[in-house]
Amino acid sequence: MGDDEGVHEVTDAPLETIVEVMVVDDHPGFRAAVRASLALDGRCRASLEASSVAEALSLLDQAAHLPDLVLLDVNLGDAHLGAVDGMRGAAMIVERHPALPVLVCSTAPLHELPPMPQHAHVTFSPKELLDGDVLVDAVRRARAD
Amino acid sequence: MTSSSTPSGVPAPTDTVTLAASVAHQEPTDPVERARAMIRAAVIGDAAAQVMVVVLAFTLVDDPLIWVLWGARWVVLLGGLLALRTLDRPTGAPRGPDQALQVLSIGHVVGGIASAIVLPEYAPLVTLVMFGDLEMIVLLPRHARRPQIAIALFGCASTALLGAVVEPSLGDSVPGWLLVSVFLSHLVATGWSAAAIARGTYDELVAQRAHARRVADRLAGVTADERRRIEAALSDGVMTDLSRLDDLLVDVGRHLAAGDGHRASAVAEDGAELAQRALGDLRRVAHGIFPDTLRRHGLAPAVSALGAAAPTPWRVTSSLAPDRRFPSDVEAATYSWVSDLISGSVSDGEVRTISLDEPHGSLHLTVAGPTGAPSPSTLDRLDAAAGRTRSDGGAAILTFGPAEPSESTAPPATVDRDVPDDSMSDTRIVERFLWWGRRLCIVGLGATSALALATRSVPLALVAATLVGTLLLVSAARRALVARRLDLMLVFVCAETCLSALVVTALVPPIASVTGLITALPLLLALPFLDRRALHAVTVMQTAVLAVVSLIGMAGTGLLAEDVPILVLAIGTPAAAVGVAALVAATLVSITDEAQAQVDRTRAALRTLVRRSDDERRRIERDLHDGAQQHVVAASMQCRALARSATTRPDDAAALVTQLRGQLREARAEVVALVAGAFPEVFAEGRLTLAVRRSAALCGLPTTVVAPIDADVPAEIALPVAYCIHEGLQNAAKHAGPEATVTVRVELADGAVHFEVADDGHGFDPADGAPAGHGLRSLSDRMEVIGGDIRLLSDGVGRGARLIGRAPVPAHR
Repeated sequence: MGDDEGVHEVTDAPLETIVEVMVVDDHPGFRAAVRASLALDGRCRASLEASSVAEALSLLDQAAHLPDLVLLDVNLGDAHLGAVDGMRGAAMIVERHPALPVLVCSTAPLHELPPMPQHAHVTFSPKELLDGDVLVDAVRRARAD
Repeated sequence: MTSSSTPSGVPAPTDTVTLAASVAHQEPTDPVERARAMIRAAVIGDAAAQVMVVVLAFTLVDDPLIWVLWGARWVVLLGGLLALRTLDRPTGAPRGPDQALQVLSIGHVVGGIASAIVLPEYAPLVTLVMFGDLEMIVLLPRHARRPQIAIALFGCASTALLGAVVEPSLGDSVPGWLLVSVFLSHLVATGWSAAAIARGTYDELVAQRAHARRVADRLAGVTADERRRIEAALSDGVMTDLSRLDDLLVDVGRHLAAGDGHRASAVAEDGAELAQRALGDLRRVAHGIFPDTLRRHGLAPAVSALGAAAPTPWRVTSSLAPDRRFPSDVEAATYSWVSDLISGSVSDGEVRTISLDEPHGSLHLTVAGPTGAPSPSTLDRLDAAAGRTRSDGGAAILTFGPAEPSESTAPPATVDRDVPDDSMSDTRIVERFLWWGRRLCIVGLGATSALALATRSVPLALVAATLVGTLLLVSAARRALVARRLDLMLVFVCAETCLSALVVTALVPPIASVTGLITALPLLLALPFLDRRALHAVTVMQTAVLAVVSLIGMAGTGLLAEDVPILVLAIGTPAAAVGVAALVAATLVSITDEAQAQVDRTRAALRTLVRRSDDERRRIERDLHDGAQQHVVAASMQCRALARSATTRPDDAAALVTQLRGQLREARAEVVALVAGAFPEVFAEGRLTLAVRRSAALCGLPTTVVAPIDADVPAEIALPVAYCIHEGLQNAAKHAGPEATVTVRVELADGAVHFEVADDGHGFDPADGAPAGHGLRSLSDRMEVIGGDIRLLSDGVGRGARLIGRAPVPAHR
């Protein structure tokens, strides 16, 4: 997809390969939207999908190779029914896979959410602003570290 | 401010100040504060009395006994001071007021006994003080009442005994005019404070009831307003945005088809912006009482988020367990309290801290810094959740008690029924009181008659005769009560007590302390029924009678007092005193319990009301968050991707447009279903047609609606009917095929709503039965609940399908 990468005005040098993204969200509709948007954008691909932190962790354990980025919704299911929220999930993921960048996202502003784990590879983006640029930037920042 | 002038809706901003002021005014008083004020007044009185005794000792009275009196006054004074200290102990000591009042009462008993020994003429007055101590049980929680009653009963009995058997001695050395005037002024003061306690209790009763009713009214108004607001925001704002977004997508598709990638991209950009705006609107609607943080993560994270989001951040410390959750009403009330306080802070302060703790199992919040005031609706919420606020040296403090009233005691009834104002239960108390009063009279009559016969004492026979009169008056009072003539009942009770007090004291002066106690009874009985003025009138009258009774007792010139054997007086007087005082105590306990039960019931009903509306609100917010909001976010994201690729990959972009329009249709259906499910009043009276038209507009096929319903269809029928029609239209859109048209008919005939959703599309073979995937099961479930039925029919493949239903409308409508 080299021609696609050339078209976009990306601030930095283009990445060599398609960015593989794991999408963790409990709304299938939202996962489908991410999939469709990324397919259209061309620089990224939703390679793995999970609806909970537990599912994401087990998929990561089984995966032949890790994705380049985990896109993680903060509000996953009902916390008092035992579901792990995205902030704690992000901490669990970077603990097991320190090199894997995690982009947490939510429709709520950051200050209304539980504290974000203090880790260089964990970043936040409002859900409605997500696009190829945001994802590629997150990967690029993590690789620069 | 009368309750009739209370606005039923949410107060306009200009009303807020007056409303807040009136709320503060009507707030039931803190029992600790009341106890403190009372004890303080008593201490001042005791200090004055102390001065008077010293003056007496050095000027007029040359008797060493006066120093015993002086010492006794010290005990009383010390009791009062100790009680104040107990009250002033650091906060959190749960038994402060109970112990304070017990200390005070013990002081009264010791001082009273000493006074009665020195000045037996004072005994009736001391008994009145005991009456005041008895009255204090209304300030005490249940567990602390028994000791208080025991102390007061002991005080009554011992004072009565001493007053009856001790020979007056000091009285002889005091000038008569002085004794009488000091006595009278003391009596008025004591009577006044007893009346003040009674009046306080009465005011409290009235205030609590009125307050609860007003809170219920306001909450109901706020709830209704909130629902209207959300309904309007969803039906108009959000739905309009979604439709416009769909229009924009049609444009994007058109431009893409025309090969104009740049214009398609620009329109898609507009679409992304519109979606973002719609998301903002949705978030505002969904972000009412329960921000997502509170709902999902609990109080401590939500308060931390609030503190961090303030213009000048607040430091939030919490010793709660990370996933500690409280009942939803407690969390919501606490959150809005903190939110009000810190958003209303205007000035700059050094300290801005919020702390959350849970000492002794009770939730405890402290907000220290430049705080604003909680809004009236927050105060109402706190009230309903039984939260208590106070301020302490610039910090605002909120506590919730550890004892949650169990869910089972909360009646499922509505607030209207549960904020009682009828005095049925109060009359039951009086009825019981009169029943016991009559029994006491009969026992007294029997005992007195027997004694009179045995001793052949004329005064005792006269006492017995008086008791017969008393008995008659009590019976008359009971009859008046049964006839619900409460005023007449009180007149009889007053007459009864006056008769027995005056006549019996005149006959046997040493019994004055018991008759003094009896004189105070109407005051107690009048509590739940009379307004303040009438209560004052009864107080003044009974105090006057008491003064006469006491003066007769002091004069000691009873007709034949010496005839009554000292043993009879020594046994009979304390026994009578205990009997009367126990009656007083039992009645007071009943009144207090009843008042407390009323408050508890009201509070439980309020709590149910708040919980129910909150649950609904929370469900709406969750549905919005999980449904429409996700669709809109997805739409925004995909519009962005569209804008980016419209020029480079027009074919993929066109495919995405189609897909996205499908998602938007789903989003709109969800909002409609949400409004339909959450706001049944949409379907009240004549709005069923409106709901059907909305569903028709959403289905995507050309639809004709024939719905001449102007009659009133109750919401419980209209809601499932509208739901079935909505589903029928959705099914037609899914299964009938893109070329189909739909007709919806709704009519009211033969006491039932008949409806039909007919399409001319694919249909099905009737021999195969209704196909699966139409959700028919859930539709017939809904119809069954209201006694209706629903069928899906077809005349054959290619000849369309009809969903036909019938829902009977209850006859009483």
